[in-house]
Amino acid sequence: MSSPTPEYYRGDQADGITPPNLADTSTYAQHIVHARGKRTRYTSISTDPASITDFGTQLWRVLRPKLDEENHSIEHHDALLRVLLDQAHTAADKAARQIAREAHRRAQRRREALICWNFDVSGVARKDLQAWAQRHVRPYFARV
Amino acid sequence: MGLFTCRNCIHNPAQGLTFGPGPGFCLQWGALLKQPDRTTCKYLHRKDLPHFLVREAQVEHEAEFAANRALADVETHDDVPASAFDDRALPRAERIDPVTRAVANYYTLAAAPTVPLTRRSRLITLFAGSRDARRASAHACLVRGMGDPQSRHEWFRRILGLIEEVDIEFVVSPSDLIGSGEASKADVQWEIANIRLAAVQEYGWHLGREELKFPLNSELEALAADQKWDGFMAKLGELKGEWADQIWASPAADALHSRLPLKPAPLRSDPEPRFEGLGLRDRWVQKGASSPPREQN
Repeated sequence: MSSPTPEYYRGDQADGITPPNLADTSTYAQHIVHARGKRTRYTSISTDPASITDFGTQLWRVLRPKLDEENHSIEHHDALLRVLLDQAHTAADKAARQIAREAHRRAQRRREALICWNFDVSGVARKDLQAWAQRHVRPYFARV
Repeated sequence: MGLFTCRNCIHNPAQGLTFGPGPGFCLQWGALLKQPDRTTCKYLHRKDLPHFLVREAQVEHEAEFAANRALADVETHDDVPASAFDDRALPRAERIDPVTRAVANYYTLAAAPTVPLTRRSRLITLFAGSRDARRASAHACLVRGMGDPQSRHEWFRRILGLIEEVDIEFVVSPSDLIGSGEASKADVQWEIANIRLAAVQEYGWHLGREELKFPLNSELEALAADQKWDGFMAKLGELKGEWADQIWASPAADALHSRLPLKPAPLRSDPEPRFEGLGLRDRWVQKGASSPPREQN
């Protein structure tokens, strides 16, 4: 019998979901500590709404079946922590290890997981990517 | 979002992402921060990581808030009026805690343009050596915020002082924690350890010394990754002497040596009385004439 899949939530603005930057190349760790900017190709979500109150005032629930149907993936909380801890120990350079340590602590505290978007954006001009992503990400969330 | 709010800025030194509930105080604007988790500004200097590791993000943040002159709401970007600190004028419910009041008082003592850099720097030492978590954070942030070329000699002294206390344990009281159960004592401990380390790392970046930019050895890195606090602090104590040696071996130390006096300064700072040039010369006086006043050379 498979373990029950957790519900995931996101705190964001009332009028929508902050779009990912699909052209970004940040790692998980860089995304979590926002080392290279506020928008990356991932979207942070959490199993615990109470721990992400500072994400934004509006709470959104992730529509898991739709994500799965359309081939987007979630790096679940436990798996994410394992990846970050591994990077904190074995990443090639000291900067990456330090960022991974910090990201691991932060992800742990916020029960964080990540949505890894798998859109085909080959036909979208780079300058239009943000607006495109904003429209396409919204249907995967419902207001709580 | 919290990473880009006043909570995570060194200019609000006695609060952090996990500690210091209530209003804070901004040394950049000399203003009370009524909602430090809602405000920001373009001069944000992140506490959690050294500046050189988050430079891209900080540049993006600067650009995002470039149109705001001072404090702004982190979500709406609306300007937030800066309110000066006057404890008497605050309603009882908004009274700030003693550590934030100490920071505000530091500001009033240090920010006047007539205060010399040396005195401003020495005021920082009033936060040194504290066993209180929030004062430990304030000390590390104030030292980090000294990155001013004019004060490099004072910065050199203050960073050595900070390294001296980098392994000193501090007390995290339940009232220091944010929210109910959101942050734990361990979260605060690691956050403050990182703030202290980032101060050393930023100084190392300015010196161009790789050993100080990333001062943890592999053993300490592993202890930090596995969050083994006791072992981490014990090993820090063994390593801090090496960091101090590296700083003493740096060009900054040479420059300091050239300014040190050759003998210890006297306890009194008043100039000694000078007798040269004050010699008195008697005039020639005829026998029987009255004595004229002495004439000064």
